[in-house]
Amino acid sequence: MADLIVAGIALGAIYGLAGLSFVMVHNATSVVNFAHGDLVVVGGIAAAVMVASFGIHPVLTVPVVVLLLTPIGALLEIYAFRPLRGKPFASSFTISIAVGIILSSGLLILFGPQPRSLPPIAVGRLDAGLFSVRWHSLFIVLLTGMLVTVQWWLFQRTHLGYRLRATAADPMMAQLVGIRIGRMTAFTFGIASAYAGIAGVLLAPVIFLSSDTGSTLILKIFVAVVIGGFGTVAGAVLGGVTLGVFEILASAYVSSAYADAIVFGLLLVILLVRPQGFLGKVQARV
Amino acid sequence: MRRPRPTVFLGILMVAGAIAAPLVLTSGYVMGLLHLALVYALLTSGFNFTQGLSGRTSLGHVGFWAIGAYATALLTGLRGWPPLLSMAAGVLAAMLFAFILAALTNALQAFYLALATLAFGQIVQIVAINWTEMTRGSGGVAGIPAVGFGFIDFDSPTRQYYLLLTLVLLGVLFTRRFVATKFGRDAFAMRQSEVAAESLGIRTRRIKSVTLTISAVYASIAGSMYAHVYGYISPDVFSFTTMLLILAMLVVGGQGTVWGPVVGAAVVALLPEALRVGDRYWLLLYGIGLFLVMLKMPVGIAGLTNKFLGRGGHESGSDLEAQLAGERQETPEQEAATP
Repeated sequence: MADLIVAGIALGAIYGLAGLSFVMVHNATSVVNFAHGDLVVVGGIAAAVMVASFGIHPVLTVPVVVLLLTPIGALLEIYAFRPLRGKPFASSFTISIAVGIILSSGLLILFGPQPRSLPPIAVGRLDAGLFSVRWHSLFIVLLTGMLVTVQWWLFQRTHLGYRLRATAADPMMAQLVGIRIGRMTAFTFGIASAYAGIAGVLLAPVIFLSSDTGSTLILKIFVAVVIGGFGTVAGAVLGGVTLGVFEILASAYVSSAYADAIVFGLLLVILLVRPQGFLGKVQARV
Repeated sequence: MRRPRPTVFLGILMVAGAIAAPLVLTSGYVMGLLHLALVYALLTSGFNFTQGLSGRTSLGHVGFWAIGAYATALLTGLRGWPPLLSMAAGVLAAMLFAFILAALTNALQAFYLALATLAFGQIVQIVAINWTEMTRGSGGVAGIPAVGFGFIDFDSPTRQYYLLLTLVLLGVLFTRRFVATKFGRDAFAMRQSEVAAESLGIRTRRIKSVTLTISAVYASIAGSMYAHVYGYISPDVFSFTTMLLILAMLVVGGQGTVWGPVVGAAVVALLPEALRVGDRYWLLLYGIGLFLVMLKMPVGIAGLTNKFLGRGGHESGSDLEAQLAGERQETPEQEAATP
């Protein structure tokens, strides 16, 4: 049981990391980025390919993945999402679906359909008397904690963060006081994509990633951010961890085949009784 | 009196072309492709009622498709029920699920709605894969007979083609009728602004339930037909990838237009084959196509055609601003033309 909960927290931390970066994008540009799951998979598969071809330690792939995904994210913002700014939800959502299809079919063409995985970043277990924890799980939780702290510090405590938040809060006012809002939104997209890529590197040792995993993953990200409260960073992490624990327990005690169905059922129930999630505020319907 | 519009001639031309097609295209392979395109046309026409005509992003459409296909496969294929009876059972089941889903999601907007409907589609597929005693699991159901109504059997590819074509045309005519009714106008008003529509006394909840149910009926019939024409169904067809394909068809064809779904289905289903691109590149092509259409012509092929032929307003396409502009331009003309 304790083992399962720890595994759930580790998986949930990865969902939380992906959810957090998804929320960053949404808060900055009000885009619901369907391609976010595919960005996670791009990070994971890129790392797996690097480890398989060069035999390097998985941790060393993290900086490369960050360098790869930051420009991808920035370019997506500039060429796909910026032209549709201010259009109805369906437009930006549909174009993000198109981006997701392009990314996943690009992965299929480049690396083939076979599922890929990474060796765990740290092998072995830590024995702490009552229970023992896999080092890999511990590493995931610590790294996620660190990245969440970095994100908080960057957005709340730096001058760049002030400008980023001003752009998110009111683009026109931000522009009037001399903030280059185009750069700010592209930067946010870049950072968020890098976070998604890191989530992919952490996820690759836990589940197999293939070119079409992204569309399942984005559903999990959606569920995580909705459970926690859409739009809040802390809610995304909390929702991710809740989802991870719930999913692992459901597949262990109820049915592993139906685990996903149970998760989506949970989502329908939450949407019905508390659509604002744990930490969200009630919003007007318009 | 209304003047006959160029779009009507275009429509008649398309129908004539579709009726003549089997005389020219005799290869079984091409026929199979046309069958698939027609099934998709029916499916996308139904999807148009939620996504297009009432502006409700709804991504669980494949779930209703699966319900229809499984009704026919399990009842006619395995238990020998008459095809019409299984089809009716499928339609009833789909309507029931649509009604429940509508009751659960009517209060939801945009992202939450997309998510909840998506969850429904996923749950249907997961159940179809895992409830092996009932659905035979991921192996699927084989040996479904061709559809027949006692006096006539649709057992040759050409006959199946005409049956599907008839259903698609009925679907298009129903859409055409729908947009001209008060109910259709109300749905259109709701798409523009739900709050404004409600303040005018339009019962938006009823519109949402009814349009979702109509779309479920289309999808269920498309599912039954799919099972009959192919004789075999497998649950991996009813996937989210297929849902994306249907979305691509609607967007390329023109959201909220009468002919758009059919045109989009034909283009998206047949073009990769016509261009002879490999299997792996299909999806990439869909992605790029969807991307370019969204950026460069968000009203789709049918929306663009309507625009060129000088028919704005209600059917011009998805882009909200373009529509508002179209409505404004059209109104004085209409008033002037009907003294």
